[in-house]
Order: sequence, then C-alpha cells, then structure tokens
Amino acid sequence: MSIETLNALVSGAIWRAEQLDELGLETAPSAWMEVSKLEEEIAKITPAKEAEGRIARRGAVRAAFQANDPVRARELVERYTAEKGIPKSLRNDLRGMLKADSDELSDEFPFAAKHNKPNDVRMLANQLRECGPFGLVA
Amino acid sequence: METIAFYSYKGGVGRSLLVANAACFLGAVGKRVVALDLDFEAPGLHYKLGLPPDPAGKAGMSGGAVPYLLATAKSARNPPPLQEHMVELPMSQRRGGWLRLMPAGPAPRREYWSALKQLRERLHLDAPSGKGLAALLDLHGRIQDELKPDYLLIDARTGVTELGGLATTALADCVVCLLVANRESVDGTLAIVEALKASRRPRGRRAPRIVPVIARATGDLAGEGRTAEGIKRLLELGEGRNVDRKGGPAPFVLPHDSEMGATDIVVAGEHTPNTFPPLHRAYAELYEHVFPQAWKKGQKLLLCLPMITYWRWI
Repeated sequence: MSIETLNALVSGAIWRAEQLDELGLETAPSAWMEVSKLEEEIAKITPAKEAEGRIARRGAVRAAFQANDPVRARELVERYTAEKGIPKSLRNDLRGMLKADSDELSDEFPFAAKHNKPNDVRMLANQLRECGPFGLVA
Repeated sequence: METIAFYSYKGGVGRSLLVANAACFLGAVGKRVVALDLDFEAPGLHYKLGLPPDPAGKAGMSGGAVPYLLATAKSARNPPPLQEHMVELPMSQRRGGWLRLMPAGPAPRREYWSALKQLRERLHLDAPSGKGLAALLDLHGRIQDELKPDYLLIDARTGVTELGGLATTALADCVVCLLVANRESVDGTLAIVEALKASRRPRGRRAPRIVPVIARATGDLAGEGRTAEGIKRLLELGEGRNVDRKGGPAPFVLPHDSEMGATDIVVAGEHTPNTFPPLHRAYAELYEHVFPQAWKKGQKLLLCLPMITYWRWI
C-alpha cells in the first residue's frame, strides 16, 4: 500500500479515535489500536531518520498506550530502539513513554510496585489472558 | 511474610476448615497471622472462624476483600484503611501472636453479592493495562508492609478460576493442595500442579513449594491403578512426609472426621496430644511440615495444654 493511502487512512483513524474518546465510548480503545497498527505500517516503509518515520514510530507507541495495550507498546519500543541508525532523541522519547507509563502504574499501586516490577505485572496479566488460569492452555 | 495458599481442584475437601485451624494454631503459638478469603463465589472462612454476619445487616462485619478491592477499583489512589476490612480475633496475649481475618465480605447478605457483581464489572485481572492484577498485588503488598504478619494464609477458590490461579501462581510461596483419593480429584489436581510447576514467574521469584494433602480419607488410600500412580506423581512434583519405609515419601493424609464435617468446629487445645482426634493429629503433622518455625513453639504448647485457652466459637 502506498504511503499516501496509509497517511489518509491514519488521519481518518486518528480523528475517529479522538471523537470516540471524547464521547467516552467503550469502542475508543479498539479505534486507537487501529491507529497504532496503521502507524506501524507507515513505520515499516519510512526509515527512522526521516521525520515521517519518527512521527509514525511515536504514533504507533502512543496509540498502543491509548488502546490500553502497554504490552504491545513495549514490544514496539523494543523493536524500534533496536533499529540501526535510530536517532538518539527518538530512542529517548520512546523509552520515556514506557517510563511514564510504568510510573503511572507505580503511583496508583505503590504497594504492588514495591514488590513487583510494572513490566512483570503486565507479563502476568498477559499470561493470564493468553494461557488462562494456572497457564493451563499454554 | 510467608504466603501460603490452600487450594483444591474440587470442593468439599475441608479446605476452609484447614485454613481456619491453621490460622488459630499459628496465632496461639505467638505468630502474627492474616487469614484472607479469596473464595469470592462461595466464601465461608468467616463462618469457620465464628463470625457469621448479622442476618439483619445492622451490625457486625461489613468489610472484606471484595468491598476493599471494589473501593480500590473505583479509586486506586485512595484505598480504604485495611482495618476497616479486617476483623481481629481473640488470641492469648501472652505469646504475642495475633490473628486477623479479611473475609471475602459479609456473605451471604445481599450487599455482598451486589459488591461482587460490581467488582466483576470493574476489575479485570487479565486487563492488558495490568491495573486489575496490580490491585490484587497491591492488597498483598499492603498486608505485608502495613501489618507485617509472619504468615498470610489464603483460602483460594476451588477449581480453575483466575483468582485461584493468581493466588497460587502470583501470591503464594507455598501451595497446600487438598484432594480426595479418587481418580477425578487426583487427575484434576495433577493437571493443576503440573501447570503450576511450569508457569512463568516474575524475575527473581521462586516457584512455590507444593504440598499435596489427601483429605477425607476413610481407609486404604488409593489402592492401585491410575489413582495411586497420580498420587505418586504428585509426590514427585510436591512435598510429602518422609515416613515410607520403602524409601519414597508418603502423602499427608487428613482422615475423615464426621463430627468435624458436621459442625465445622475449630479446636485448638481441647485435647492432650495423646487424646487428639485423628484429624487433629493429622493437622499437627501437616503444621510441622508447612510451618516448621512455628512448630517448635507449637510442640511445647501441645505439651502444656491445660494452660491453653480453649476456643469453641461455634
């Protein structure tokens, strides 16, 4: 798919997700997930050294957080920060997003955070979602 | 704090009664104990500990784990005081131990089921944000940091549920698995224990000790065949008692006690060791294994029984 088409799609998807968010509709997170996936597609065909590529990478991660999927956000950050030639400022921005999200969870649940790393908490929640109680369907 | 989860794949094995008795034993020997009822769908630990809710709903216990977690789900930054959701049970002051119960809530009053319904709508333990699970881990961490108990005993839900899974995989240092010696119970427990052993854990967290316990035993345990093989496999994965003269460990066994089953009486100190009913002797053997540090004190206590307060709360 061409970059023009993807740009048009992502612009429409962002507008829609913002409107749903404003209305407080429960479908807003899935709209943000669509944004994240379109930004990811743009990031695949635009290098991080170009402005458009940097915007797409930041957008994919930010939209994953807005879709309430920090596990996906972390995966994207790990993938993008491992790219060759990634600008230092972009790497710092992406890591900063992860830290801000972890800090929020720690602020909200200080006792949990004292004994567990936020990433471990999400790993366990993810495991529960994918493998069921006790990991029986792993 | 050592967290011990009591789990059973099938119900009706005397799990809550064992939790109540173990909590009373530990409190009596001077340990600081919190008993937490996470069996939200069929809570009963408060009954076992002699605290049924006031039927009129005008007095008595109103807090518990469900109302606490619901309040946290509504406003995580302003959780209610733990004390509002716990009940302190009377213990002999001489040994310095205490026992606090966090019941599931005032079940079976209507307000409890209403709170549970709201909790299910608001708190999703598998939410990708991690907030649902963090709320449960926060309660666990808060009990540890604010109350500083020696032991947290968890009455975990029967069967395969999210909360039962988390109580055993994410919270527990030791899982006491109760089962009866029939093929259904053994096969189900074996599947759970194998999954528990294989489950992923946060970095730096050890796999829990697993102690299989055969409950409601009436005679020859398992006979031959699949049930016996299953129990043998459970002992390979978990911990048994080292009394088997043939060299292998034997399972802990709680004999059937029709009187206990009928009345759910918690007794600690009614009998001298030699006159303990078989079920209490079996409890004592299990305590020695699961709470070895408490047992040194407990042993002396059992030899000085006339000095011990006798509790009969029901």
